[in-house]
Amino acid sequence: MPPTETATPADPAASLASVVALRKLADRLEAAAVERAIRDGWSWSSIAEALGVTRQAVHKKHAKRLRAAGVESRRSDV
Amino acid sequence: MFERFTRDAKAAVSRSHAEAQAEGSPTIEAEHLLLALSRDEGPTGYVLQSAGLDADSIRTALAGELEDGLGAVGVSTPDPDSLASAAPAVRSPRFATSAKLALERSLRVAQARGDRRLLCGHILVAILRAEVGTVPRALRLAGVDAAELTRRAEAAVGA
Repeated sequence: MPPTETATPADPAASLASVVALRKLADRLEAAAVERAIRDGWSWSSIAEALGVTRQAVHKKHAKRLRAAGVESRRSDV
Repeated sequence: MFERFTRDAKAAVSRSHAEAQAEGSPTIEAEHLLLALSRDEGPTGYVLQSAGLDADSIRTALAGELEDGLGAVGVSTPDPDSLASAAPAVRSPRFATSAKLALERSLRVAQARGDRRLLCGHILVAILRAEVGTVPRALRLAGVDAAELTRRAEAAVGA
């Protein structure tokens, strides 16, 4: 079955709930992926470029949280 | 906004902040208020607990709702371990629209009943009044009779 056949629930409430669920999942994936990248020595610039957002945006969203948990970038050019 | 809130209602709002923080959520949503109310030691907590809605069962219902929403578009829910983060604590989650709406509605619930103080029960009635969104979906999927729960919550604030 082509994926498009399952992709859109007919009921608006269900479609809208799927959007919310996907956003939640994306947020969680982003938090875990950024943390892993920082642990692996990625710079904030590279993470930003990979996510397609500005360095400031990704830094503002994650740096404080990661620093509080003791996760630091091992690079100096951050 | 909070000047009419009783001490218990203020405590519930502050627990909702802690619930969001513990979950690593950047926002405080209506579901975090519901989780906070389930830990209330007064009549509102009792209404939820006696309907089988303690914090654990609410979390299970919310996880089911997420899984359902993802499943509807053909996305399977990832293994929680793959999303594990050492740094889940967002320092200060902010109130999102669903929680703001619930609190605004709770003020109107209190007002409509002629109650000067805002009680935990008003917040619960307000949350249950939402017809769409994560909380009503989660409760419906978990088989909770929201109408009956609303009646009990209203009775608890002294209908």
